[in-house]
Amino acid sequence: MKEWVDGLVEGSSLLQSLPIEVSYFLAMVFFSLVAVGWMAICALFFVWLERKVSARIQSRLGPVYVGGRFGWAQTPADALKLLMKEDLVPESADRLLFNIAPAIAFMATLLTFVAIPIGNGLVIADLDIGIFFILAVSSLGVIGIIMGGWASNSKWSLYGGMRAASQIVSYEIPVALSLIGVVMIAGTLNLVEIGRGQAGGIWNWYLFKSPFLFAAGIVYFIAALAEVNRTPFDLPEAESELVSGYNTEYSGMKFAFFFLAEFANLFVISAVAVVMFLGAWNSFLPWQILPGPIWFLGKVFFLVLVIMWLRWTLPRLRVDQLMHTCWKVLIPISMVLLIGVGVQMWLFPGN
Amino acid sequence: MSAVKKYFSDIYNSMATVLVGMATTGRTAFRKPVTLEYPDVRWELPERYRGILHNRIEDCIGCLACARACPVNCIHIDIVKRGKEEYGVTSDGTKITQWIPRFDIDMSLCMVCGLCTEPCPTECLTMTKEYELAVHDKHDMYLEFALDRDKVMAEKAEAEKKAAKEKAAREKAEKEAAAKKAAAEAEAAGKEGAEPEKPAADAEADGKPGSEEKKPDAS
Amino acid sequence: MPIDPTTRPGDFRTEEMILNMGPQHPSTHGVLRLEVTTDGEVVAAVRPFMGYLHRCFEKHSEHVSWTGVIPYTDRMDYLAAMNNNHGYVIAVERLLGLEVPERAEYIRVIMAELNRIASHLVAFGTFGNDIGAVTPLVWSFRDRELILDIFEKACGARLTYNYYRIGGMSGDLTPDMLEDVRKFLDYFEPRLKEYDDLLSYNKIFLERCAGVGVIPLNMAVNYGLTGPALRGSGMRWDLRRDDPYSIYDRFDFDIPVGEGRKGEIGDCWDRYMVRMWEMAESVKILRQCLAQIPEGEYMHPKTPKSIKPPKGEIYVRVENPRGELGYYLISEGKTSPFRVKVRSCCFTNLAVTPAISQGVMIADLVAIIGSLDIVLGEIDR
Ligand code: SF4
Ligand code: SF4
Repeated sequence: MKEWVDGLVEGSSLLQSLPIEVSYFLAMVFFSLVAVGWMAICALFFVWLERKVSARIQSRLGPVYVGGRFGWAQTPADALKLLMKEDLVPESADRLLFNIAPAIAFMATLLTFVAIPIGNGLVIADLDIGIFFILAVSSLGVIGIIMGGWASNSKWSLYGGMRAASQIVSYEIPVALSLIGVVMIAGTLNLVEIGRGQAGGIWNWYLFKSPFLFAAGIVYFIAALAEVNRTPFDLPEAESELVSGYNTEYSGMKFAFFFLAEFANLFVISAVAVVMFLGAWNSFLPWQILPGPIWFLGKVFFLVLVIMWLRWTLPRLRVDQLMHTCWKVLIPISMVLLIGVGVQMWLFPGN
Repeated sequence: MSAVKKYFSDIYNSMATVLVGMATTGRTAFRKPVTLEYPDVRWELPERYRGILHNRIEDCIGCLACARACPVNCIHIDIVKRGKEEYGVTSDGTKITQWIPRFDIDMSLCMVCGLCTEPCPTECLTMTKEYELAVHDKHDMYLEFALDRDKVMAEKAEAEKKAAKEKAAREKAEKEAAAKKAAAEAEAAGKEGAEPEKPAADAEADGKPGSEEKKPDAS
Repeated sequence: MPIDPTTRPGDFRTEEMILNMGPQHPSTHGVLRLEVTTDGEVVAAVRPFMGYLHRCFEKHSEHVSWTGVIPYTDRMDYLAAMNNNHGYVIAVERLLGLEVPERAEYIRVIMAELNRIASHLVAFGTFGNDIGAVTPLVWSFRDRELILDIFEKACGARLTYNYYRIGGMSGDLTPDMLEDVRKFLDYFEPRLKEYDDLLSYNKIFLERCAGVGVIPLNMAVNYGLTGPALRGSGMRWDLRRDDPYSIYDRFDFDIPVGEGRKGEIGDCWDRYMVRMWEMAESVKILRQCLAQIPEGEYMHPKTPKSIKPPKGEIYVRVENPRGELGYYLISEGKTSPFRVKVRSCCFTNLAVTPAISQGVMIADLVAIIGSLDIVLGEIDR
């Protein structure tokens, strides 16, 4: 971003007359707006997609009316409806926490959008610790969820919040462990660098570089599903058990924030999977036929589709089974895979 | 050893069954949807569909069979006898001997069971294919079928009857007065009479007017 | 607060929480309220409360004609209205000493078995939904719809059928309706396999159901469970075979029981699976019905216009999709019953919940309720 602003300032006499800090500030505002807009578009599109996918799987039509063809305006209309709804705060709720909880959940997701490259160098903040930043920031979201669950002062919300806490914190570990393998092979935490490292055909993608990374990719996928509370790990909001979990008491705009964050998270985990394992913006052929962002978004779209497909297929785990899956299955396996990657690197150092 | 085996077979099973499930749902995703875009596209209703009730009142003979059959008593019928010269016929040739000043069905009570349509001798009470029962005002659910003509005629008949009754009562009273007078005279003359009979006759004259009009919903 | 030095960290006495599950809760299948005492996620005690849907069915029946009771029976177990009708009309016919024409009996069995499938489909779907899978619910409703279409053609309604009459049926099954039934069966049989693929043998589903909410056989008998809940515990007891009514003794079908294939005998999975197998058996019965159905009357020609059974009382029980539904009728020779008492299968089935849900998790409690497949309309009446 800095280079971009510097270049812009150099080319414009108007900006040169301002202090450079003002330019930076303006750029910051601009890019945060870009991030918010991008996130909103992603979330709205995914909500629509989810409806269509679920409808197809269930022999239904899904939204067809609003906006003419395919009901594309259904989700914007729903979002508008949510925004216009009365903003209810339960009487016995902790008002302050209740109000900031959705904002925290939203912010955590928004921050990750800053670091995700959707093309070669097309990233708002090209961080050297990109993947680390995403892991760190995205786990902040759980604080918002616990807060919301606690502040609602409803027993169901509390259960949801507690479940979310244990689940998300536990599943951070396999997520991180399965990503470390890639980081070891790529030798960098920078997402753009990792993406560049996978250029030149499908066999260069890290998923297919080594059998250990292939397995790590699957582990990452499963654990990431749990981290964003998707079926079969949607315990925090298990509607048949906990009514609606941590967001039981939320309505209107605040609920919309949780909802938006949830669906934007879909983009985040898929994008991370794409950057780390599926060759980022590179095509599966040695030469780039279409622009990078199209490849990238196509892959993300495919992963999101799979996630939705899973959601409408699977039942939900129980809390103890969830923990079992994490601590006794995913973490040991990802550790073994990590060692495997290490051994592989040691045996074939050039590769 | 078996625990280890179970551990890995569990992992394998989860993966495999998830894939089987996904294959199933995936296959369904490419089938034709079964739903209709409801308000625009509607499915055809079968012959025997039981929707909202309708009465072709011209054919109703006021036999009250439907009101008696209804388990929730939501059909309210009043009938008034027609004069001989006013008898009508239904489209299937049954004689109509009553005016029906009131034929109301309270659809908000009705459970659309169809029991009322079965005993109807002229098959004038039918269930339509109208299934959108929601209304804005609950009074709209109160269906009134009676014809204005019937109301007028019934009123007239009623008035006539009342007049006749009054006339009869007057005549009776006159007669009784005359009888009383005669009795009093007789009493005065002979100090003996049939006193207990007189009040009984009075009561009968009072009780009769109501018995013409049947109110099935009172049951 | 002073801490007793002898307590170890694990000995902390944590407070129990009382959780009101329902009457408005997504998975209490209606307006059931469960007062759950929980210790964290673990259920310490459950007390079911019901009566939110009480509509005075029994008292009301004393004031309507014998025929007029039929639409009310529809509204008890609204998912199996045909079966409810069936029990009641059999009871009145036995009081009257009325023989029902052959064809009517066949129509009755066809309808009852179709409704058994429809009801089990809802049980399958809602149970899947309780476990967290939404698609089974929609699929089951999709396929149930075809049955409802047949019902709609036959009697004009999709939920409260009021199709059975004392002495027969309210209308005949025309050849094209029978053809519809045949078509449905052809469509439905492959679907059963799909349901199994989607849900029954899914590993997550198995983990959630197998070995959960086990009702041992002696407990099942002691609590008076009937229907799939009893058969899931391993008892081969089905009134269609053990106390045949109507013409069920003519058909050849199996009575599936829980075998504990995946967990223990009498767990949620067994109860669920008994239903799935029973649907296949119903298909068998239906196929035999379609092959055998004779021509003839659908209503006894000598059915009296106004029904006045002679003085007496009778108890008739039939196998509903959810268990044994009993009608106890007393007639005083009047146009309306003197007393109607219903032995509700869901009520007794629900009564076992507190006994088996101690120490399970909240999610298991949902599974247990779902596997018992209760219909509150029948419990409260
Ligand atoms: S449909 Fe049933 S409830 Fe309605 S008026 Fe007729 S008999 Fe009464
Ligand atoms: S049964 Fe038919 S003819 Fe008799 S009163 Fe009712 S609608 Fe009229």
